[in-house]
Amino acid sequence: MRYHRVRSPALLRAAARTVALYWCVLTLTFALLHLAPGDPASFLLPPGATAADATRLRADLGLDRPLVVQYARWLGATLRGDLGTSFTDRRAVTSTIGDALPVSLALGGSSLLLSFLVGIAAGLVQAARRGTAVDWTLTGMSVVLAASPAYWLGLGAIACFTYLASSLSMPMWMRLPAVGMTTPGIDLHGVAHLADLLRHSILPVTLLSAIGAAGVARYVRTSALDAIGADWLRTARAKGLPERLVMQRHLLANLRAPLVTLFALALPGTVAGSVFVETIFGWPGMGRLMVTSIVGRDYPVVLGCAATYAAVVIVANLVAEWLLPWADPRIDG
Amino acid sequence: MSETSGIPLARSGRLAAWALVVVAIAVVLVPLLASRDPLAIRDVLARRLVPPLQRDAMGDWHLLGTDRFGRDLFVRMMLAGRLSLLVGVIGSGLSGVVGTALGAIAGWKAGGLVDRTITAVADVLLALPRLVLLLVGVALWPPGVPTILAVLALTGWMGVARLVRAEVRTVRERPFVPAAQALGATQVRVLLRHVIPNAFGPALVATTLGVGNAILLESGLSFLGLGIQPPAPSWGNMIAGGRDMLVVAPWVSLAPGIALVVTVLCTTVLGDAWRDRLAGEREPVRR
Repeated sequence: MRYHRVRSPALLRAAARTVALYWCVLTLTFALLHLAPGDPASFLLPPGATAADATRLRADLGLDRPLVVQYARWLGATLRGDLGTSFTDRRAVTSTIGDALPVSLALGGSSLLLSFLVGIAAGLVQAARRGTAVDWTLTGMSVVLAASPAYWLGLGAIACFTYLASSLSMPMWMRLPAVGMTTPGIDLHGVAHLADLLRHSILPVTLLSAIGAAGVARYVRTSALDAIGADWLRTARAKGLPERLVMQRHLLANLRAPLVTLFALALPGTVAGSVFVETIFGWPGMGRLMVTSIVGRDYPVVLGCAATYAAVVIVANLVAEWLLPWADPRIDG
Repeated sequence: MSETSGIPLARSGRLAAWALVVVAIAVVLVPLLASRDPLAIRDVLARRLVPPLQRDAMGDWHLLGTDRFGRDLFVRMMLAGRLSLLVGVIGSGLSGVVGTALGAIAGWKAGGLVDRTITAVADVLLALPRLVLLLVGVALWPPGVPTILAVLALTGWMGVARLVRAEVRTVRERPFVPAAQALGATQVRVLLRHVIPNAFGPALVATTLGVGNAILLESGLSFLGLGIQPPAPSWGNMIAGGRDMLVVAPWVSLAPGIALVVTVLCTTVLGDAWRDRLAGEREPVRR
């Protein structure tokens, strides 16, 4: 126990810093959008609209007010949890994001979990058998995966498991659906719905976790090899511990801190990866929402997406910072 | 070379460097020497979608086949490689330069107002996934190579800046710095001649590793239709161009994808080997 330190001021400072950081991110996004050349109203109007239509639309969307007023109104509304309404479909942005966020969280979360499980296992196996054929194969796979664009691998997966599988007339259960989260046109409930969802998620989740696992495995292999020469590991071996226990207890415990840091770093990466995977596989998540709203100049939706992404990243960093003293007791929380 | 690596990375690094040189020479020379214009669309019906290693109806032989407009994929791929390599190297190089400059200033004046400002800006930019920043920047400004380069540089400098800042802070404490100051060297001279060269290694490695990342990001943006605009080819928009023909003509997407993967792979292997050598130099005895 540390009695000599008052922790609350430090906590307050950290909270203030987080809030200031978040405000800066929101302001930056707002500035980027509004300083960009081009008039969003011109993107929204149907062809053949008159100048009067444009003026009316701009007034309607509040785009005719001075930028400072727009900023103040937007910031005030955002602080109250109101992200405005979409320019294109006039839905509340909170409900649009409310629909898209669970999709991305499920996709990103499950693949992040899988990629850490697979990646740690693969990295440890590589470290334990370094220089062998197993190590070489896994290294080769992970380096190639890390160098491949997610959308290209996605196209390849669709080509193999959908078109190729059907042209080779493989059994139906081996053909995987390429697009969407569920089979369209069929109203399924309960277990059947879940099974349908699982079948649809096999390709995107496998793809995202394979790419993630490649990075984790490389990282774990390097960290494990750094540790393998250490004195404490030699001691653990010298006292006769079986190799499995040496790996699990001693090595993995020492990899905990770097892995927590990597987890926080990997989270935004998952977001980026899922932009392409969602686009390829037609999943209605945050990535696709972001791309379509940016292309369509739907400012409220873009700002809402950016606010959500920034919140996820900042929370992930805070959680990692908070977990680090647990992961490595030498780090002073 | 690092003792901890089970694979002779130095040799793989040399191999990767040579492979990159070959790719660079090929992307410059092949479009120059090619008999067919990779942008011209002529005799579409006779030439389109010829599989690799076959002749079209006009009697011309195509190493990697043709796309839907009858353009030779190999020549087009090499032309695309010019843009992709250029964007990768210059994009990553620019962010390396910006990162080194800002990181060096922040590390030199550590704790001061300038340092805190630079660190805060980096924190803000790191709080958004890089792809989100790229998408916003590229989609809102007129598309093209200058926009992509500017956006890559402005969103990629933070990692290098952090590395250089940490390096400069340790180098600043080494005895040769006060020695140079005692000899009457100005601050700028000490920083440029004595501190930055000694802190430059990690920045160079990070920049090399960033080249592959920049190529991947550019190809992704082009794939989404926000990067290099057709008819100018880039590996990303070539893959996108073959997207709806995966069944009838898989080679249209496959060929540029392989070129992309090989190039990115080589920059990564080169960067890794370089980092290992750097680690070996700094810590010669390990274990």
